[in-house]
Amino acid sequence: MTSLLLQDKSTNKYSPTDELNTLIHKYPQFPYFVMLKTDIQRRGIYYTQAALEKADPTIHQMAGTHIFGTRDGILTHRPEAFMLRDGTSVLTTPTPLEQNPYIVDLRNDKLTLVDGQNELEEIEYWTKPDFYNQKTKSGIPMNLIASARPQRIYIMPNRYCFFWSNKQNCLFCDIVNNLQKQKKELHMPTRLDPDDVEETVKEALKQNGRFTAICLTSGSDYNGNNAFDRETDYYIEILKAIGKNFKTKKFPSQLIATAFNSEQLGRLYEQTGILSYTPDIEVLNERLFNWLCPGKAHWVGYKEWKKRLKDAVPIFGRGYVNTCIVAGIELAQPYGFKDEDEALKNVLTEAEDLISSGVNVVFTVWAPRPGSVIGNQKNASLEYYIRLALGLHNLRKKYGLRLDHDDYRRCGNHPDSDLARIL
Amino acid sequence: MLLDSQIRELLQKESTIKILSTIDENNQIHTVTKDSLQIYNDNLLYLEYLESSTTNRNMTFSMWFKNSVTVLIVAENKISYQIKVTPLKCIISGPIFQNFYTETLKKHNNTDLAAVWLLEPDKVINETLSIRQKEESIKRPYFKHLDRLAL
Ligand code: SF4
Repeated sequence: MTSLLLQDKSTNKYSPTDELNTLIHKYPQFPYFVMLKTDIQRRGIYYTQAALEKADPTIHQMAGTHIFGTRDGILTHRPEAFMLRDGTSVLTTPTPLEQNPYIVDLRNDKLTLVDGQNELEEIEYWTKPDFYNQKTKSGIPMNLIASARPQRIYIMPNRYCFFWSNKQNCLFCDIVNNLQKQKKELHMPTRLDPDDVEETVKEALKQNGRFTAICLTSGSDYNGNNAFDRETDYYIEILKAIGKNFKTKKFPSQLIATAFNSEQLGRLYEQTGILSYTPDIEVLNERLFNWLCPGKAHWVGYKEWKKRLKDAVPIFGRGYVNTCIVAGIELAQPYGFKDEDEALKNVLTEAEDLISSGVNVVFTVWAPRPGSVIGNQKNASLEYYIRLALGLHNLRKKYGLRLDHDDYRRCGNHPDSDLARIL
Repeated sequence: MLLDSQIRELLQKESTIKILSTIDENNQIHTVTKDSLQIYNDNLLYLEYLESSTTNRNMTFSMWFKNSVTVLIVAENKISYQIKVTPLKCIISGPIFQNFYTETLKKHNNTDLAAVWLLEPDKVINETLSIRQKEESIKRPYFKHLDRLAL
């Protein structure tokens, strides 16, 4: 049996930094592991040469295939993510040293998370799924068809977002710039063939105990008779292809897509195995939505986006519709909030409106990426993210809303939904 | 090494009853039997079959907020040990998880595996009544009914 690398106990051997310590004492109801993850995502990560040498591409999952880029602009050759002892996943955006990221180093032959002089935690790189070694019949490496979270198959059928064609791309997003790099360096296909997807999922399911869900996400495509008909039809095609691998019509799955109208959503739900739906609103403020997400604002609009979220609840069920915000962009300048308290109050008020209607709200920590318009700005303070995560968690508690499809295990990229483990 | 050979032996026996007690955020105790409790190197391990179980939730809570977790093992011959443990690791993926997953499917048809919990023993207390009685009569001679001492 594989041996376990374990530290004696975090409390004895590893000690948090002063800033973390202060916040640990100020927010005793907030778990240390999630606080650490949040801060790693906020400040970024730097892998030392020794830590990189410990990443074995035959065993570990390496970066490069994700839909968004990194903070240092380098695509590959680093581990995609790691896990903390409590099962918390940390998706990492490698960050230049000058920006003061956390460091992963090798200490006593153990992969160790380091901040300044402080050794914080022992970590483990994500393991690579078996299907990464295979190619489709059409000759495409399967890791370019699907990627993996520890427990989720992640498929990006279309890596192009049509909002970029009209210069209406979201200001924090680097999807198309990242795609150009991926095409050049990895020969990444822009748009996937449903047969390749079916074959890749079939291969992935051969690995017992590896996956608990499937997630689909793409760029937006407003083409079609009605706006987004083509995006809807393509997802239906892909989901039907995936569905051929299952005995049951429905299977644990999540679609992160544009906010579709009721007719489009009805078709999606009826014709495919999809079980949950996540149209990301990105920012919970109409004025900032119009500024930061011009494509979404133009083609759908803020109020309509929220309406469509609520309209999806009777179809998918309470808690199985959610929306993600890129937390921190509401503070981006020149139009964002100047004050974190004010920003937080605004976000949580808007979130309550959605959560009370059965729509979950989750956040990712904004990682300013060089390939995006506002990539040269700073994200929020750690305390802001802690308060936001607690605020969303408490709202879920208040309204009795579960978050099974986008939790620590299925996704692992939302500090607030990590807290749902104890709901 | 806190877990001596007798405890190791007892944990291996199918007839031994293995109980796990956790507490939730409102300090409510939750006690269940966990047949999968076993020795893993110098630690204990149990297999959590249900993602949504109270124990799984409480284990996470205990790991996050350092609440106590207790294991009780009771053998056929009434020998029993209480083991205070600290949750050390929650394994939800990777090769160790997959080994136990395959084992679980083989052993218990149609049973999923949610997590492999690794528990570090902090303290072992022999709770066998005859041993505890002896201990008490030496250390606390007052705790006795007089009629038991009468001529
Ligand atoms: S909708 Fe916005 S965030 Fe999503 S891919 Fe397009 S530009 Fe990026």
